[in-house]
Amino acid sequence: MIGQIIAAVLPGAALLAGLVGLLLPRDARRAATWLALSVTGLLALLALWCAIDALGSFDVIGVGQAPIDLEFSPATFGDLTVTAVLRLDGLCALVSCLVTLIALAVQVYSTAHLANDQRYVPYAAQVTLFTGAMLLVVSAGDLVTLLVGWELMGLCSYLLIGHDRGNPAAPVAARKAFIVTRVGDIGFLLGVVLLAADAGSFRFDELGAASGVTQTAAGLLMFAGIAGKSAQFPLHTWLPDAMVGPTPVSALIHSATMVAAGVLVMARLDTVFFSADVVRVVIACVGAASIVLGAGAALAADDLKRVLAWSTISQLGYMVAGLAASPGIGPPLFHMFSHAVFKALLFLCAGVVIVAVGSSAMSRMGGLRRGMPITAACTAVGLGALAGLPPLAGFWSKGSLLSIAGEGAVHGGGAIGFSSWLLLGAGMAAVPLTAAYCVRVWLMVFAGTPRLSTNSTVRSAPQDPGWRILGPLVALTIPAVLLGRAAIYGQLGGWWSAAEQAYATDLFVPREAVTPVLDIVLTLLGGLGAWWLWRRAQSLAGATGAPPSLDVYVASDPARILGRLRPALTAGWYIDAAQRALVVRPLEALARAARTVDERGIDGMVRGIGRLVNRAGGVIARWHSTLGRYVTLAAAGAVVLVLLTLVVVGAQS
Amino acid sequence: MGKALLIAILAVPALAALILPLLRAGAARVVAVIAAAVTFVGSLGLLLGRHSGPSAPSPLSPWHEVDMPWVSALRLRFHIGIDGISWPLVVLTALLVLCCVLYLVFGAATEAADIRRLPLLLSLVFVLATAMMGVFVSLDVLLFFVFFELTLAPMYAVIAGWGGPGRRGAAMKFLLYTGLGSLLLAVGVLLLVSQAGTADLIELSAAGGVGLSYRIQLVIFAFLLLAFAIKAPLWPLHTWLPDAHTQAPTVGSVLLAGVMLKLGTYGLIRLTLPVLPDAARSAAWLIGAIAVAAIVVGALVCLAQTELKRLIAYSSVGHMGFVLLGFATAAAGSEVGLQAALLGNLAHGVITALLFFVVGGVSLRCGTADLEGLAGLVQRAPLVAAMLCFGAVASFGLPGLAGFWGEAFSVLAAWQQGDVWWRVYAVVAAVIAAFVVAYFLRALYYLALPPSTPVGVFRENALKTANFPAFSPETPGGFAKTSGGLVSGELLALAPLVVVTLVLGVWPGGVLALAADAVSAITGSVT
Repeated sequence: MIGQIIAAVLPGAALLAGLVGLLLPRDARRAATWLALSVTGLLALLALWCAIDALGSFDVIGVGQAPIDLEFSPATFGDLTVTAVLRLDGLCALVSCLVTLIALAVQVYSTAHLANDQRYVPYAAQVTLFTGAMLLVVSAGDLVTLLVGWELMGLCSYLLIGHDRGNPAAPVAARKAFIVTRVGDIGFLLGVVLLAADAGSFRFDELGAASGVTQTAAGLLMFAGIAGKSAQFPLHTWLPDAMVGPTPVSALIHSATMVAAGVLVMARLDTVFFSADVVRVVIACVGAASIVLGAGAALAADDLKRVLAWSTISQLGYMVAGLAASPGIGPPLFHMFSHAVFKALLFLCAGVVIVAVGSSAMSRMGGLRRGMPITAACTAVGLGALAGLPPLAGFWSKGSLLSIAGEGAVHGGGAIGFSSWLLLGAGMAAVPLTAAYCVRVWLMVFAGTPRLSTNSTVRSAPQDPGWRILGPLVALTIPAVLLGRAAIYGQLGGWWSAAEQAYATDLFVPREAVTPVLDIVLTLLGGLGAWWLWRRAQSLAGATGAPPSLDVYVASDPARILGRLRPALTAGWYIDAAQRALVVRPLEALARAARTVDERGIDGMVRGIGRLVNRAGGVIARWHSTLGRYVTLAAAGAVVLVLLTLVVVGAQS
Repeated sequence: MGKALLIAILAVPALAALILPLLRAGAARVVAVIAAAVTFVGSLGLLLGRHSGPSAPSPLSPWHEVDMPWVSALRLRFHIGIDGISWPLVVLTALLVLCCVLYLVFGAATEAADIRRLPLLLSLVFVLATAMMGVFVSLDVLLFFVFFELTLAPMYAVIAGWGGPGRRGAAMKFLLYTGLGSLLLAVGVLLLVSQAGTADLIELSAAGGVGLSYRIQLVIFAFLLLAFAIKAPLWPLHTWLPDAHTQAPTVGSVLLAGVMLKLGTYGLIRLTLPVLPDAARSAAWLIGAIAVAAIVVGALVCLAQTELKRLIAYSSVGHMGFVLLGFATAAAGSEVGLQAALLGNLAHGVITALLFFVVGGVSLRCGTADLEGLAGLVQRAPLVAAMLCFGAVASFGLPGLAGFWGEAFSVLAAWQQGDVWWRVYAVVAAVIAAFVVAYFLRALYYLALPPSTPVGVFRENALKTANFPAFSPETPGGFAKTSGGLVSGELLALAPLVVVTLVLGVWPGGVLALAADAVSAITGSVT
């Protein structure tokens, strides 16, 4: 009973608080703050309790024993009953915990970050609604509930990315985010229809009744939706543009919500997605492509937030390809957790830096470690975790993915073996790139000599902000350091027992110990390489004795080594341009053509007939008034009617 | 009790329509609100005392019924009744009429730019209410035709008398087009009655086409299909709709989109499926193809549309395409399809009415509904923009809101047919269903542009004839500064529609359960 109440409260309370918050008047700032903070905070406590209950042996709620289902039937269509299921189980409890804690950090941070924002009240409500939508996805036990949360999240991301009313780029990016993810959702929706029509049910646990062919088709179709939400090639194009949204929103979108939703749904429905080899291979290819293209573009970008956005695409690629390559869902989900923590941390740090400097271009930053040491330290931890530096969380989670890929490549065989080779190849190739762009970010932003900002609105020298911002930063830094070890000892509910048993190996000390060693070596290689490139340019500039200028910074950017490749990488491998030229433009032209045909062609024909009738009607011009014409028509119709009746009745007799 | 209510929901608006033109504006407002409220409560009351359903489900077994001779020479009987298929539509009509009356009485009365003509407009609204509810409760096909015909003249008058600058042409087009539809309906109905020997819908539905040869069925079906397709409207017989919507006053657009289009789909479901099952079955694939074409064309035209009212009108073409796709699968025997059509019908009525209430107010205040002229609306009138956003979101079928069920399940029904062609329909419809978001976001994008973008000049005349709190000179762009730019009449009209959209979205099963027996009997008669 108590479990079912919790299952309803987890998404329900957040959604309700979000809706209520939207109704608050614009100046009710204090009420909006308290509503958002208290609801998110209480939900975080509730989720923590569930997670402890699931992992430990305190079976007050009973999450650890068996999934708790709360069911409600909104409708019955024919013999197909739609059952909405909210399912509270170990996975739901742990991910809810992650979602609510990061949402809480973001909400606290936002109170300070948006202190002077006129639209804070709807913003806070939308973030709460966003959290609720993600919680709905997390606790969904059927396809319809999943769809509701899934699309609601798309809507919230649209509203939040378009938050800034003064920036003409914001509505464009918001629209793009919604439409690109929605293009993927075409497949998602069709997949849902296929599965439900064949299985005769929307419940996750009854989808197995669908035939193998259906599951394969549905897996491929639904993966389009996953690629949209989780920003995978080729539907990743919305994510870098979405950086015009407020930075705390980016932190939320890139960590525990939205992009994580895709990975989570694949883990939830792994029997559907990984029932056929072809789906596994497609997913692995997409993931591997995203790993490489994301890491490459992150190395070239100058905008701090865009670097982080590209790195999200790359890291999500690890998870997606990892799901295809791993016999169990443990390692990819582990990476989802650790990525969520350090990416949220990195975005929140980036927000501090951007506010201090007044720009998000890294070429305008530098030397910030003196003024804001705490931020610099937190960022360093986040970047270290992202690069996979031992002993930070990212090292363990990415390492577990790479070692499972290593085992799979050697012992897996078949589709799993192929996927493992792909993940191993792309993953290892991206390791030095990742390390290089992480080092590059830290050097460009925090190292070197301090520079005066070119932005006149920032008067004082950059400083560490107040506790409402530093609090969430420090709070997120702790799991970014410790999550890896905790996961190993906690075994996260035995999640990777499946993966470990498949190859009879320990994920963290695999039989083939090559992968961890190679991982560390490549990380050091990439990181040191970037540092050396930067150092050499700095010492050259220092030798001339000139004051640091923009030119020096551009010249010392390690990304210069990319040479002619750099414009292509900055432009996101021209995928955006290709999509515009191949999809958007032709579609717009088609729409214009359709409008012309409809308004000139069809309606023109109708008007032509009208004119003809009018001319013919000149004979009976006595009826000038409108109603007269109507009577004429009716009379003519009566004649037709009588004739027809006669003909038909005659034909019958 | 049931019989009295059944007569009351027709008599009260009819009486109100007769009395209102004789009253002054002040008294007319009071009478109109009372009459609309009584009608609405009465329509809800029809739910009480319904029998739990006959032992053997029949396509039409009314909860309440009134049957008396009317014009015996023409064998015309006044036979009305209500069941689970017609009741939601009757309530929808009563609700939208109530919303329209509240809108006129408490807010946008000066849309007519002349307060003295308000009683007349209210009266026409009530004539429309009587006629439209009459269509839904008719159990006699001749009576059905009479009521169907009765909706034309008042709508023509509303458009021609209170419409925008191009109202004459639009009204004429509406009248000629739908007049043609009525004519076809007349032919179809008279053929049906003469061939079947009865005009009683219960008998006709129960007979299920027995006694009508396949050829006769096809002929009658063709006439009825064309007649209802013009009304619905089904592409390519839709071109009267955008003009009528653009030129009609707000209440006209609301009733047109919210109820009048449903006369077409309701007619198809009630008059063709159980009565002419053989013809319906063999035409199913064709209707499906046309419906999918309507869905595609509607979406594409919307994507290139530059005027908000026309955009919503064309989106209606697409949405009604989904309803007709559901109907087509029902004609092929799908219970799911018929239920999807019923839900889609209702949802479109509520959501489009909501959209037209908002857009009507916007175009009145800004003097234009051109997207480019509406830049900055989000800043100037946040609540107006929020309502527009809500309507758009509901309209493109966000799961959990009313619009989702009808569209998703008509796609599912088409897929379940199993045939290759039906599956093609399903895939195309699903692609467009997800794609519809693009044109709504395109429209919202214009409204979210920074206000520095040049703004259309709003109508100076409208400001001068200000009996409308929003039209005070110091409010930018004619929007009230308080309550986010909405006036009380608009709030009163919009609030119930928002609630219904949410309720239908979360719990569509309530409506479906009422119609479950009839639905299975109707699709049973087809297969």
